[in-house]
Amino acid sequence: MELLTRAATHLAFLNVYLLSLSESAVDTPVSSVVVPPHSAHKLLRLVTPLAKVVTTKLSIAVISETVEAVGGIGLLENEEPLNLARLLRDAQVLSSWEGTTEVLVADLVASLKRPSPDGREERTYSLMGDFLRENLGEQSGGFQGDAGDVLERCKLAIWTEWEQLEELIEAGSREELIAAGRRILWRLSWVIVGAMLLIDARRDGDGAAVEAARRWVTERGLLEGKVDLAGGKESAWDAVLVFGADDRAERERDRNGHRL
Amino acid sequence: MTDGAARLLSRHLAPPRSVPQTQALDFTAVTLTEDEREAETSRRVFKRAYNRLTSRFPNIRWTNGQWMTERPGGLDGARTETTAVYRPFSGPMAERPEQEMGPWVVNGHKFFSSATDSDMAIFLARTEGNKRLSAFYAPMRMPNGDSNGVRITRLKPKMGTRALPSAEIELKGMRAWLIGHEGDGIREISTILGVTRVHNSICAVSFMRRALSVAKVRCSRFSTSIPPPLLSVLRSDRRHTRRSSRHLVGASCARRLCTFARSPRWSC
Repeated sequence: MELLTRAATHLAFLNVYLLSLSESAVDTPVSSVVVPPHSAHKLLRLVTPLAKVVTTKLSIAVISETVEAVGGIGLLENEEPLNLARLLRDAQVLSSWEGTTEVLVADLVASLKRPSPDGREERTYSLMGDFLRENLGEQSGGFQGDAGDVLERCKLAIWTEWEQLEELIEAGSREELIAAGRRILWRLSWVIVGAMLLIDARRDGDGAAVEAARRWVTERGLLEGKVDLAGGKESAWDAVLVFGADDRAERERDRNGHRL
Repeated sequence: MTDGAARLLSRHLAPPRSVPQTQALDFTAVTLTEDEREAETSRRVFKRAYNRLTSRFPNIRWTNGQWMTERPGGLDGARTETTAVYRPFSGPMAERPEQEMGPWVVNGHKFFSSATDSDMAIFLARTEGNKRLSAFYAPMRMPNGDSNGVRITRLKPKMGTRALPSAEIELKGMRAWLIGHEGDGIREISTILGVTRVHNSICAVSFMRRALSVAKVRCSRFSTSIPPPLLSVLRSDRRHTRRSSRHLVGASCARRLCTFARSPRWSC
């Protein structure tokens, strides 16, 4: 849940950053995220529907899970600000209003392949490729050892996934893409979130950030993750991800050596 | 919605380029046609609304409602039944406050209007002889405080977001201004949608972060049973032996709060 919340946060704030760039362009970059010149507006059109679907769906799922995690109390109409029941009820509408998933999928496909004035299709999705190339880049982040390896592997996995996705988008007609739209939307958002987590981890090599990127990319939330029966290290990272590193010394240790 | 409306109106505040500067300065030379005068008034009205929408003072500030859904349904608004007819005020300019309510008269029914307690609204309506919808701006009240042809017929009994009243409303002879050109409604209103969707994402993120924080506090404060196998694993891990039992509970809870991230739900 922590990871999903991080993912949603990254996506939402990328969206906000693009919105601000589209309204008032700045010459000096104010973020670690590189947005190629003159593409903010089109990227915004692409990311907005995608972020809306992903953040709201994850929000409903995560809140529902927290209701269960705290036991019976989660079902009560507690006093504010502890009222999870109300949060769950309120979150439900977020995915319906301002465009349901169906509407947003059509919107996303329309912004991936826009009909250009001469009747052909404009390859707007290639902007996403440029955006990812700029951000994944050649820079390994300068981290040596395990953290460097992890981040490099993440980068390759994200790029490979994007290339497959790009082929798919290129081959499909708009109708086909809308029919398969939900899958495309989730796969694309996996790629974008992966890139954001990677950028975040590269900024300072923070242990928790590297671990978040690793889990996001290598485990994919599916069955690909290794089953770790001993589970000790994984639990330790669970604790760091959820509650943060305990003390400074530990934080330093996390930063210096990311051991898997 | 308020921010989105401000963004939309801000695009319609610039004077048309066709009016040469010299002419505008020399008042005697300016002879505005009816259309130009109306465009001028609409800009003034939009500017005023824009100032209120972006104000930080509670007594000046306005909020905006956005009305899309109608009885026949359809999320894209294609089956909108609300109509707008062009009926400019005739007669002397003396009735200026009335004049500023707008030259269009709107009739119809909106089935799901959010923010019914707002001060103005932006909505879609059908105009005569045009297949495509147009966007309109209308204040909720007349200058004398009367309702601008808006009647709330029913409040919606919603499961959530009850702090925000949604209602069915009836529009009868509502005065309004056209935003942009006739038939451009969907394009115009998508400016608002773009902004509201970003707000929506931020809202979703803040909800989940808050829920997670509540769960974290709850988990770390109250002891829950740790499954024995996990306990032994945690004890055998050198890093954890130095930790208090609170941390053990915390780790168990962390596992629970993390596990979900590895469930197959991401794929759907």
